[in-house]
Amino acid sequence: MKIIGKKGSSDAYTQTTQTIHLSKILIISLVLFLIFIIAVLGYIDSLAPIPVDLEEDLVIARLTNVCLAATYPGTDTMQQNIIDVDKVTKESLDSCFVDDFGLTVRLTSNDDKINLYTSVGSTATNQYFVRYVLIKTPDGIIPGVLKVSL
Amino acid sequence: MRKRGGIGLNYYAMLGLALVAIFLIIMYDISDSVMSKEIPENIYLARDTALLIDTLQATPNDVFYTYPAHFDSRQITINQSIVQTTRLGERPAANEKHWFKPSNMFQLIYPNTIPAYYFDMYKLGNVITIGSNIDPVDTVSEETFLRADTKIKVTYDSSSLQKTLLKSFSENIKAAMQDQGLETVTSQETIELRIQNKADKFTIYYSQVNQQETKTLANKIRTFVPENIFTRAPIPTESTKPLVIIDFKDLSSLEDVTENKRLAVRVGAAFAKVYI
Repeated sequence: MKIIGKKGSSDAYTQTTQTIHLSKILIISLVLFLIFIIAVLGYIDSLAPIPVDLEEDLVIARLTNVCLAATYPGTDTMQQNIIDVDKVTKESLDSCFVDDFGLTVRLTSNDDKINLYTSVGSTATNQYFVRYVLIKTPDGIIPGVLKVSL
Repeated sequence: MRKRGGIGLNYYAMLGLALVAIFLIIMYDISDSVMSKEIPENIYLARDTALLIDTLQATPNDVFYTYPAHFDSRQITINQSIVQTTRLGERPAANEKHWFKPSNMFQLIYPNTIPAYYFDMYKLGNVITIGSNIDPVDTVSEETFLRADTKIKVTYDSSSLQKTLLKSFSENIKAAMQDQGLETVTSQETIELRIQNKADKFTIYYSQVNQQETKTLANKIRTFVPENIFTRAPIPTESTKPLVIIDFKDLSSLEDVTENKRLAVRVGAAFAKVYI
């Protein structure tokens, strides 16, 4: 019984050791595989990089060129980079993007006479992108700043 | 007992080796796809198309754009706000896609799948159309201006992608002629503005009776077009600098010119060149 007990312990020890080794192999393989996948995805991403802030620039361009842009009198031709104060509304932003897009817009004239704020949805960050624009008011066109948070 | 132990060892070893082999095969397959550039190209095409849609939605004027490259046996699938690219007939893969930001202001029209072969993108007013071999409906509008006795008639394609540009340009011609007068023009003249070859070039067709009058009018147009285009009809291009560049050319030597004098204005170069 004593001898058998020793052999049984030896077998169990061997199997336990093999199981541990197999687990180690699996874990190491899995980690290496994940590292490989991450490296490949990073490599692929680097092959088709999108310039920094390009997508944000396009969003802001949509605002300054189309959605908030003033029009030439008597036409529907947009005046790029000239913001119509009457268009800085939640309704304009709602129509500019689909419902789930978060956006905050602040429009301030250099003389501080105009200070508008409007927002739709929830923005991901508190970072503001700043654009120097002209503001079309009933009294004329004045310089100002458009701050957009996405 | 030793035999049983041996069997256990082989079993575990083979299982481990099989798993490692499976991982290696998967990694090789992924590496092969990446090195063949199929996946990167799909991702590139998806990103580029999505960014182009966002660009069209940020452009105030009408746009006609032909994608300047082709990807053999690839197709583009657009679904609400996602652009995906795959091989023809295949289902889109999870990672080969990119998002654009749809707008409630624009209507986006596209087929179920678009072959990635020099496909076209139009923005006409608030309608954006994406597909292959799209042609706008050819509808010509006319307007007559200047003094009644000179009978200058300008026609432009009211359905073309550059309708706004052409109409604005015709207004520039009108304004400049009114400013400068056209005493030398006595016969009926027609100026037709038309897009050529789906490119960023449009042509002024100028019908005339008298050769000398034609040249006189052409010279007058040549003198005022650049300034007026710059100040009254800004054209968006990829540069942030003032942009419109005009290649003003006598096209009488071109093959498609069979009658009359034709003047071409090419938009898009880096600076104005004037020929005549």
